[in-house]
Amino acid sequence: MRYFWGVIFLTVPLVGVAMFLYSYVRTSGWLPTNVSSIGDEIDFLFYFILAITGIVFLLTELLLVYAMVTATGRNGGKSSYTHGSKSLEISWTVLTAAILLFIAFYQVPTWARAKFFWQFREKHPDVKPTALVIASQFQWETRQGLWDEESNKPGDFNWKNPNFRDSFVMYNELHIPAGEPVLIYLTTRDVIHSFWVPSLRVKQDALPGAVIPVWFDAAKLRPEDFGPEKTKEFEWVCAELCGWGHYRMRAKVVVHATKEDYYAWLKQKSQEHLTVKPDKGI
Amino acid sequence: MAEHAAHGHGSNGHHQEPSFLFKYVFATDHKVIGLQFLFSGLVFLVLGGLLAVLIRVQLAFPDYAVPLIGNYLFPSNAGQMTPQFYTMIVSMHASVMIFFVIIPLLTGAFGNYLIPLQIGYKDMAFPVMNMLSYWFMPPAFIFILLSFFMEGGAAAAGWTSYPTLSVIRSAAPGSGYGQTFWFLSLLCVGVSSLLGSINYMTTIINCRAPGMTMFRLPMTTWAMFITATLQAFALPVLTVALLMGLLDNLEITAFFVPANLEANTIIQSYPRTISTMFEALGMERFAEKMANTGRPTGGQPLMWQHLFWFYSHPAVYIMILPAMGMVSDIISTHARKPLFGYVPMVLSVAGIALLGFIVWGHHMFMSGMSPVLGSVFMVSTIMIALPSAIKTFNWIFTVLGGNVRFNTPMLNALAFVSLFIIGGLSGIYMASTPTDIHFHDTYFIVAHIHYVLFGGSLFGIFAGIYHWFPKMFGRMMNEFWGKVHFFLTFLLFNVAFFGMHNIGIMGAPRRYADLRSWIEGQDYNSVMMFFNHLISFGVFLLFAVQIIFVINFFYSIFWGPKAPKNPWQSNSLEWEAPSPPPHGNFETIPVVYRGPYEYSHPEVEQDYLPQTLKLDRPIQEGHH
Ligand code: HEM
Ligand SMILES: [Cu+2]
Ligand SMILES: [Cu+2]
Repeated sequence: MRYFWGVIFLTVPLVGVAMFLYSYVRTSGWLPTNVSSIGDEIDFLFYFILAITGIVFLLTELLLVYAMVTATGRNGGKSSYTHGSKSLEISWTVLTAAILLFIAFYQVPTWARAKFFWQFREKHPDVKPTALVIASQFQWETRQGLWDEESNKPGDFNWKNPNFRDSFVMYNELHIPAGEPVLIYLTTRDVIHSFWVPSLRVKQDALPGAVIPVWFDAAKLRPEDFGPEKTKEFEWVCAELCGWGHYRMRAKVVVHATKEDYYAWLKQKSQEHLTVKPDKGI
Repeated sequence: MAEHAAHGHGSNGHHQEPSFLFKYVFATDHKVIGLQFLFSGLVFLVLGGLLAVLIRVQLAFPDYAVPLIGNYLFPSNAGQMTPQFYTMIVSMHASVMIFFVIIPLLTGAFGNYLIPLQIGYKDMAFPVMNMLSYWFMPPAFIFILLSFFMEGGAAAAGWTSYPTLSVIRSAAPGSGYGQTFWFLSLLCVGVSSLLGSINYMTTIINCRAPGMTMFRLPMTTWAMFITATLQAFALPVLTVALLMGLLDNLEITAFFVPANLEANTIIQSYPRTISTMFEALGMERFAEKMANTGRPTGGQPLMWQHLFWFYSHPAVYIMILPAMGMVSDIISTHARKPLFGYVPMVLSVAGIALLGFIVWGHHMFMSGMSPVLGSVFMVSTIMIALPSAIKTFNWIFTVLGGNVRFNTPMLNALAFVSLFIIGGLSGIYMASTPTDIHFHDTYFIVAHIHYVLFGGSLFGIFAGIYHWFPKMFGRMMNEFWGKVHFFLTFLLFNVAFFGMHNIGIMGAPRRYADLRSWIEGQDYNSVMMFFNHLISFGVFLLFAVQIIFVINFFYSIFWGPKAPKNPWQSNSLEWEAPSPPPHGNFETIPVVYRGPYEYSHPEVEQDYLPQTLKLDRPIQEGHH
């Protein structure tokens, strides 16, 4: 009987590994495609944790099964009489603590690069916000600055109080250039939503009453990765329950192959915007 | 302490037999109260399970009408489930399972039943308060059940009920009276737990039998003691948060509502709204706003998350520590071997409890909380895996070299260990802030939750029921059907929940009413749907096979073979009392001579040595 149960308990690690292998092969690497520079670090950390936890998982599960099938009272029909071992307790405590502390501190720099705004500002002191993103039930509204003909670059827009003269609005679409760091400001009209673009490895809740800076890039995309249409679309979804329509709050981040392509698009969009009647509101 | 317990309460003969009403309904006997918690918890387990089945029906077959009930519930939607209904059942499934099943079963049922028996006392320190702690539950039941019939249905803002979704009445269909009742119901559950926890602490500190020192307590009682302490410190915070949420939800206050939100209205005249919104972020216009709407503004939605998780993170330990304690006792008993590392086991439970108070921010890494604070919470959270790891190693080493009896309680306890390993390890991915950027609010979290709460807590509860059933009802459960139930539950559990890790890594967001059409491409979609179907069929079968348990449970209550006093040859005090113990528990108050884990002592012939057995010659024992 003990072998039977041993085999049953062995199915947990076996089924686990099998499912991971199956989905790895079928999806070429589990995680959604990554096109961002921070994503390389995050994905590396994922594989790093996977390696450590995977080994611990297999070892502990196998040890448990081994303990089960060998626990046959080999001490004269009784079990061995021991209340523990101080040296074992100390060694596994110290060893585990060391591994865990290493895992924890090893990851802080990546987190800082991903989320500490002052680090971003230090590195990119003059990146201007590309857009103000406003979530509401159940859509994303992006407001981007108009093209400035005089200085021949994207114009400044007052993201704290934008209006139709300095910016235009789009729904469920955000355009960015490849290769450049992008900064947006994120807020919401009603409830908490969450800005998540899996392929850019960026996630940030939109908080009622607050405006939060978010930055990311599509730095891994090279011009030759693009087809003739010169753009690539990435899934952009809401990741925080925001009501019944949460599941359909999905949008697209459109990455343009080069900065010039992006500027060309922005120019055209600005012209379109200025030809509509201003009193239409948007 | 010993004195206190010794004088006075000799035998049950002193107690007058109460009438039926006071014996079974307004009972003050800890055992009856424990069983009341047990039965109501199991009833809600069925309800929570049914909701889970409905969730999985929708996710696996989003295009089809719901069988049997679809045409009655969703006549205007051709029998297909509406997303409104889906968000409601997702929210209620979690709320029911956490607040009406796991917490009441572990602390309410097992805590009540076992504490006085394991410490050798006739009852809880405050029997009437104990009765009250149960009688705060029925109002909670009524509120939560009624909430389904409110206009708009029950609460639909998740079990976490984040504002502003939960407190702006128009923000979700369930945010009207459904949500109001949710707040009220949880308030009652909180009061119930608080009364219980005060009782447990007092009883364990003051009422132990002569000779029962703190370090002779079985792990179950230790875990209950520390859990009670956790509850006593964390519950006031939840109570405050719930009251604030309730007042906000009734539109009396705005603790969690910032100025100028317009829920549920998509405003096209964009410049006007956004500018007034930002103006109002300054303080100038608050007074005017209040005059206009009658509702104050200027609250902080993040404050709810801090208050809620300050309770609810310790609460996840409230939901696992008692199970850890029970599993420790069960494994030691059925492995016929002393618990490996008793003192480290106690210390690591205490360590989990202490650390548990400084990790709540790991639920808020993406919330807009300062990311600097996030890195501090990352370190504390990863370190909380340390005591969990120590416990796991000790369980495995308890089995190693043992003389294991593979019976149903033992198998369920071993499953606890096997599955808790997975839940603990997956925690590290989410505790790591950089990877949590990807994992937060995906199915990976759902997998984690179910490996710790189903694989951990619920298997612990099954183990506890199979183990203490003979004591509770004086009859044995059927071993064969117990094993069949375990075998199917264990396998189907993994079928149902393991794949959630995979779709989580692939990026499936949680709480979505429809998981199809991921943009990555055909293969991604088909793998996602493959796992979705696998998970759903796993859940359906998993739910179905629980009928074996239900039949075994009820059949055995009435017709199982009579149980002896100590069917498992166990050492702890509850097995000295008759099965089932009468009112007052022990014929004479037991005297304790040793710790609870003296199994297979080489100088004793039998392979166990009860805590109460006085030996005529001293022998070398593990701890005293
Ligand atoms: C090794 C120990 C553990 C670690 C490191 C850990 C870590 C975490 C983290 C970081 C999260 C938040 C994930 C996110 O939302 O992004 C989380 C969520 C959760 N954990 Fe754990 N956890 C551990 C053990 C447990 C245990 C023992 C339980 C319960 C018995 C538990 C229950 C939960 C629940 C219910 C959630 C989800 C809350 C929600 O709905 O958002 N965890 N865990
Ligand atoms: Cu959403
Ligand atoms: Cu937590």
